[in-house]
Amino acid sequence: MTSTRSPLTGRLAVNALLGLMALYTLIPLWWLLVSATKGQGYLYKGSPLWFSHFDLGGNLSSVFSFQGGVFSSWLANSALYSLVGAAVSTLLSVMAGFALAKYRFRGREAIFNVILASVLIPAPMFALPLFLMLAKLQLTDTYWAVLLPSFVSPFGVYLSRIYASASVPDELLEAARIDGAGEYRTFFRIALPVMGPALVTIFLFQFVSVWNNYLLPSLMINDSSKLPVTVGLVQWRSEFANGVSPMLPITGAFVSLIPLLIAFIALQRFWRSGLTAGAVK
Amino acid sequence: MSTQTAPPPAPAPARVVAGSSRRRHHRRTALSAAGFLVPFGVLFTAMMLAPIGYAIYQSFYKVHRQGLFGGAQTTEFAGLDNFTAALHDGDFTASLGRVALLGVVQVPVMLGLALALALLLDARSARLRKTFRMVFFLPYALPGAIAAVMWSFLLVKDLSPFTGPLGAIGIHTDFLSAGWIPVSIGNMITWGWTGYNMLIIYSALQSLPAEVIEAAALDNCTGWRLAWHIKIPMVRSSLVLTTVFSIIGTAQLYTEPAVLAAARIPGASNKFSPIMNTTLTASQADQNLAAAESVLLALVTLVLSFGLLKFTQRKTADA
Amino acid sequence: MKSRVFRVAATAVAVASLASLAACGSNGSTSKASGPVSMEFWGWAPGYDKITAQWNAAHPDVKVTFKQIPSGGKGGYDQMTNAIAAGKAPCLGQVTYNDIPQMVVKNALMDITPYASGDTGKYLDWTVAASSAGGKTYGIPVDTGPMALYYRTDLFQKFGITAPPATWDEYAADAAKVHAADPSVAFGTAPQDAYDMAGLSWQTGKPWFGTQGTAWQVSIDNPGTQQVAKYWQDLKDKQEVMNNGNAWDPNFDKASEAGKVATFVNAAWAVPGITGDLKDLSGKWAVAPMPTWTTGDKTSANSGGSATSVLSGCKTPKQAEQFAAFLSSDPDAVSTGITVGGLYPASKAGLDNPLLSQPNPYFGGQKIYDVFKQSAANIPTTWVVGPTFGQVEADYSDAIGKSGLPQATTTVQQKTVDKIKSLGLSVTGG
Repeated sequence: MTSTRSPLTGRLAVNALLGLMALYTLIPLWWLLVSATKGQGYLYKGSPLWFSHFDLGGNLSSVFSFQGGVFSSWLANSALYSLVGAAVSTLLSVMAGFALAKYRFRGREAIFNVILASVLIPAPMFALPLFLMLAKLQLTDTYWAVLLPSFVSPFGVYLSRIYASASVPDELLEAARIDGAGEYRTFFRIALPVMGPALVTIFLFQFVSVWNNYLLPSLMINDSSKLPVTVGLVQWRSEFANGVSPMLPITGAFVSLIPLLIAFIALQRFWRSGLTAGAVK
Repeated sequence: MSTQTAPPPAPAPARVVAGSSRRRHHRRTALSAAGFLVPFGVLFTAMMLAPIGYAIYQSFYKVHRQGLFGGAQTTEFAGLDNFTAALHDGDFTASLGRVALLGVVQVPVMLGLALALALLLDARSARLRKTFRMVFFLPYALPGAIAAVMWSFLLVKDLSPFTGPLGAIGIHTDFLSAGWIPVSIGNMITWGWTGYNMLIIYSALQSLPAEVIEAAALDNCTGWRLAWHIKIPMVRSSLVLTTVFSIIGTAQLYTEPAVLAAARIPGASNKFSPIMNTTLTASQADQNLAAAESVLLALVTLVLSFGLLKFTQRKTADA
Repeated sequence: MKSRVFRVAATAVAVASLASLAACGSNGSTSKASGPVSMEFWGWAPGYDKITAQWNAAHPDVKVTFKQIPSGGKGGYDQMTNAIAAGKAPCLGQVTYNDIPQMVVKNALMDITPYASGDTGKYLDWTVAASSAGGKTYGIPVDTGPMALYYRTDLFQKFGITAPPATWDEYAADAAKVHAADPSVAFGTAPQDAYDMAGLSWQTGKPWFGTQGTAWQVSIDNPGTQQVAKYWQDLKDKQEVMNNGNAWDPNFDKASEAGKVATFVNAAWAVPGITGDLKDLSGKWAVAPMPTWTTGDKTSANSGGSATSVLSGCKTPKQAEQFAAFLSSDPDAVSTGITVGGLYPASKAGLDNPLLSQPNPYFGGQKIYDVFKQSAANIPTTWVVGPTFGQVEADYSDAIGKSGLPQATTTVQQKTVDKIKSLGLSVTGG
């Protein structure tokens, strides 16, 4: 049997390549960590990849106190936009996906195809006309201007439909109806629990996509206290020349990474199951 | 890739369980279906379809202004004038070209890397699988805009930890000079998204039936040959989907170059990507031209991604 | 297990929607009671916040709130026009002379002729003209940007330059001298964008725009601009000036601190920039007249300078105009503008402000405003600003990154003609 031959050189090569890629991934993040600890005015001093002039505390306090402590509002806004956006869009997607999977009615396929096609048209391309429309409704520069568009996730509907078709047995729904349960009761009590994994997946992906959003809030929001952290940090970066120290965007970027990092490690299981979900069924 | 995350991998083309639809289904009326669909439908129409419709409408009109400062404005039907103007705008077409080049070069590099990493992780000799997987996925936790802020410092010539080592092997470059910026942007996207794509492909690899791999091993098919002949063809659908979503992501490129321009990097252009062109055009009071540019961009993206899907579907059917 | 996930999710939805309601309910409902008027003022010049406070102290019935926004070309104007589109615009905004015409084309500014007609005589004629369009007043001039040469006395001494260059030929000769002595030291900074190019071209007396009836004439690519472009491209090619980095750019600050840049040419409002960012260099900078193209000539130039405009949709334009006039002409406001913002007044009376004849310790006790006063008196008044400065700015920055200054100038000329056409205005030239 030659197949058990796993030569040492091969094993080394595999792990060396993985290690190399890990370095490429980690060096920038390591740089961010190191730089966030350097005292104001010392960013360009010392090695870029090792600690010197340590003053993380000073940087943190200036990040959280600069411009009246607006940074904490940015983090809170990002959390609000992402949590509410993801929660509502998940619920709406699951309801729509369930209906498209479990009810038969005229135009069902046409509706589904329109939703599918819209997956292939990136929303940012039409952020400008959306801005003009929301401006006419006097909704820009309010939380709604970012929330309403994030409630819509065509891909979530697509995933939900696949899940519902595959995992919600018709017999179960029939049984519930025979017991006299209404349509909504059947959905919330019977279908939704079965679709749990799909819910988590859709929620997580929509959460990250809203958290990452940049163009939409940068167009919609003027008032600094309503900005998400992405737009806020870029503004700090661009006001470099107007006396905003580079330590602010750098330390801010590092701080903003932490909540998501924790969420990632805590929810690792769900990421994997969510990603696999597609491939298996 | 920029603002809106490329969505997760889709299940292989849905084989909807049509056989399970039995009698009694007629009792579920269109009315109750509507109850479930309306909340999504209303928002979908208002937030996605209406802006597209509005842009299409705008793209066929033109504002005529009178006098030096356009005191009296009239809006008139302009046919395809805005589209011809957009296609004659060298900056807009150049940005389309730039993004196309990025798609042709960066997407294969990134996906090739993602596939290679997934196969390496899946290889029997890999160690520390969980750690590597987590590390590769880390950049996904950093929003594109914030990552771009990070890179905008990290690539400054005097500050970059890469300048020294690269200088030692004879590469003396300023990654933020005009010529290198496309490469740097490609790097930012690759850094941010390789791990994500890797995880999709890896998940697909993990779900391959063990019997197939064992059978192949018995046929003395291991290592590269196993990867090439068995594994890659079997994760084809996840490769197609990561490709389609990467193309969509590249077409909507905005965040990374916009952050570099906002950071006043001297070589950064405020017209790097098509969406940057449309926002700039709009801020210059030229909404109609901006709308035409958006429509053109969406059309190109739709044709490319839809075409690719159809093409691969047909190839799968032929095979 | 699954039902637990569901319950958690459902609770999350409920909590989250409550949170969003609370968050949204609390905003946007600032009811405007009759009685004292309140207005917002958006701008970016240093000192405007303090002047606003001075106004509020003296005018309890008209409360103005100042909001700092990014400078106009870097997003400030977009914020204003977006806010106008959304019906939430402030009453007042800072607009530079370069940008007033394009803001008028965007219908962003209100015609304040009826309120301002009594005031316009108080300001320098060319600033009044620059704040007007089509015979209507769209802003009250605040400051001008008389240009001068800022130079490092210590570096001049080090390289044996006895007097600041009076002409551009001398400037080039000094640059060559410094380069020969130490190639790592840049003598100055090359123009980076349309604002720089406009300031330098202004001195040649050949304006970028003109009008003929109701048609614009575009002449950005004129012999004056080309003279400027070729001159600086030559210095760039010889690497005698920094070809990235302008004053306040981190590159510039870093180079200054390291003693690697000896001069820059800019307006009076650059003063707080260097005094604030480069505190350690106190006593090392000085100001001299802007070099000229011919010996004995005194022609200078203007770069930037702003007016205060009333934005479309303002419900209290009369009070807004009063605030703008206060900002520009009240003696205390003018003083604050000079000390905090380096704002060289556009008001005629303001030019006699005692602060303008005081020595400045940062500049080694030099009476720097004597230089700016002479500069201001020698600014050609023939300059005309076109209706698309935002585009000119975007295209110049872009083109300078891609090609030499002379070629960039030709490119921008063509693009400007195209853009004016595309906006539906009539245009000749190019």
